Amino acid sequence: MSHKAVEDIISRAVVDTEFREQLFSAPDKALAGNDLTPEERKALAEMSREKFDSSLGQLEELAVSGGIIAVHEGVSSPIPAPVPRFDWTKIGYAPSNTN
Amino acid sequence: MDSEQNLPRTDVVLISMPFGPLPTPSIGLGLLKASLAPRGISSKTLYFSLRFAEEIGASLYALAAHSTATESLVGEWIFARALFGEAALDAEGYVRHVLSPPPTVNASRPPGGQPDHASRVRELVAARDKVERFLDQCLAEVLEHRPRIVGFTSVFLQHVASLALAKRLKARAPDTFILFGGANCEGIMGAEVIRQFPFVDAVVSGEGDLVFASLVERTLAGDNLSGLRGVFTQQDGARLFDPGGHPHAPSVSDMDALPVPDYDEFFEQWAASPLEGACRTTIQFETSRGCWWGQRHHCTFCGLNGASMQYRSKSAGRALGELLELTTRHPGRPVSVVDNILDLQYFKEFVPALAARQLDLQLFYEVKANLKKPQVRLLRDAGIRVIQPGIESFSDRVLEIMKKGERGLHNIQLLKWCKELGVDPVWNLLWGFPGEPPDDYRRMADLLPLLTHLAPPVSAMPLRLDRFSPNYERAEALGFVDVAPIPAYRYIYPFPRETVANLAYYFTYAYREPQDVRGYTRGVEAAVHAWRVACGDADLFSIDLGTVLMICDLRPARGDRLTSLTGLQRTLYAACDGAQSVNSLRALAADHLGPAAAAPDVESVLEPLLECGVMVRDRTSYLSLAVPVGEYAPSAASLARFHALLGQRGRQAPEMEGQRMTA
Repeated sequence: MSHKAVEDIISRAVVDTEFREQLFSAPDKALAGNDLTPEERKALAEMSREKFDSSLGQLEELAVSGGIIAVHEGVSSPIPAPVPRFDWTKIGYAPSNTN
Repeated sequence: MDSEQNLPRTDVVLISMPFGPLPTPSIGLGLLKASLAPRGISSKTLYFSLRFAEEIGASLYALAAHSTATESLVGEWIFARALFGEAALDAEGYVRHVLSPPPTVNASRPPGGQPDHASRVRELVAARDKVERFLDQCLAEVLEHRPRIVGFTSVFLQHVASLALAKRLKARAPDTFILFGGANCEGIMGAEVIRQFPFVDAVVSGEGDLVFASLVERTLAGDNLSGLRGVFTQQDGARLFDPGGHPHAPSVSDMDALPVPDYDEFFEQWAASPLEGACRTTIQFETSRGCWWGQRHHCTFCGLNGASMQYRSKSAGRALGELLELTTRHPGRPVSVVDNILDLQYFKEFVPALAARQLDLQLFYEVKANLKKPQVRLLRDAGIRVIQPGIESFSDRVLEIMKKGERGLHNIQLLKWCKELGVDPVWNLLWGFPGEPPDDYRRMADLLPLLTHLAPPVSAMPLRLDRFSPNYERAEALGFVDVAPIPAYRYIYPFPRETVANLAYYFTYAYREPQDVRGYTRGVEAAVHAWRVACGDADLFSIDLGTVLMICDLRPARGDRLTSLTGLQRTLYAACDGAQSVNSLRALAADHLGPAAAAPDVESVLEPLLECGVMVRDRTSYLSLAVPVGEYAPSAASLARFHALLGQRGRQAPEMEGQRMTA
């Protein structure tokens, strides 16, 4: 299993917005010359733009604006964090330690 | 007539002594108090546990009351001198042989023990010097109420402190009727309390709900208590030790008939205590008793449900109503459900009703580890954000020995779903079962570094032999020999061995067939420690891009790296979000490839994913380990590392069209 080329292409699409546009608008051109199996080429060409944008698309913008670093240092996530919860292990007593 | 005699009398004073649970009211006392009010019987509940925590500090109190202190029983020892006198006890021996060695029951500690262990030992020893004054104050306060009956709840490590106060109370007010109940009084333990401590008038063994009000009414009326099943009195004498001589009180069959526990006095006392603000209080809430799994297969290590394994639960409507009443009366507090196991029927009505109401509650429940993903999601939506699943091991063989009725792969699956769906699992890893295969622990030591992105165990420890567990009740048949009370007991109770054995709940053992548990579990213990250190930073998540699945691996054992899956590998990996058998994966692969394609060798397709540690398998099934992003949101720190990986790879990628990339 080696999908290094796939990972490189997706990574480049994250950090290089021009390449990203080309990957989704003219995938054959964007992928030309890369060492891809037919299956990998098809997968990349048919990759969901919507899913890419919603999960990876904002990472670079956030990083460029300092967003990721800022939220990292502020110990919060750009994705809404779960509600803080009570730590039951800190109450000094566990109802039972076996069940 | 002196001034004390002019005070109004309280029929019943109920007491929770150290080292009862600190930041939560006793559900036992809450239920008993609530059962008296409709009968016009006056009562007062006193939480002297709070008072002693104020004396020695909440953090030291928590240390002595914590479940891991069951090895040293230090909470009991602190009060032993006040019960038996200095001369009867070997305090030096206790400190040297029991308290000073680092505890062995929890692998969460760093190797060599806690760095402040020695100073904590000194503080615990010094706590004894506060006991006499504390008991004097407790006695004075109880007497202010001029009680006719004083009832002590005794669970976990509050037995000796309760006995010490009861002894003083009887000496000062001999007409006061002294009553004990709680888990420390079940069966032979309660019988031995009656025999050894003549100042205890009666003990209730098992569930007290159905006998308590009658017991109180008869006592107040001066009637005798004969015929009350499960109530042991001094009049019973040696009969208690006849076969069948110490029966349990009848168990509640109609859970809806129980009153709503009355916690008002706890919260009044808490509000008046300097402890308020030191830690957050919780509410105890009960929806069932017994264990539906234990009715079929009693987990061999489990000593809960001594009185009755028979599973009984409240109706969904009653449970919901009670929860609303308690959380309205005591708002903003997490709710600890005391059940041993969640009723699966509750997924039909109670849990969905809670979810629909969006009450913003925080509930804790113990559950069986075989939950389905939609059930975990429903728990989350209902505010049941912390669960204690009965995981205990990842070895199928060890799980089989303990009759857990689960597979290791399913246990990992649950931990993964919990991470994805935002439910915190509080779980334990146990070892030391007779006949367990050492090789399984070597395999487990290799497995654990792959799980560091998931919640680690809160405790990892050798098996403890608890009274009422099959391991204790059928010790010899299950491979144990030399069963004896844990050593701490003999420093606490200056009684003959047989008497101590009757009072004890925790036992040591040896194996009929010797096994080097310490040796073969060393790797697992080290891996658990590494897991606990790593878990804050470790992550492993997958991002679905439609035709490509991208996996970001941020576990320390693997080094930060990306993996992308396409085609059949992607399809199979996504399908293994829950454990999938090889046969079902073969069928899935055939569907994916279409009828014209040759049957694929699924195991060959997935082998590289096992090698790079993003999947695990057992004899028949595969499970993917990456947590899908969606309902799961990686932390900002994980996203920053993920971005760094992408940037590193993306900027190395060829700038010019036509340049070939090599795999």
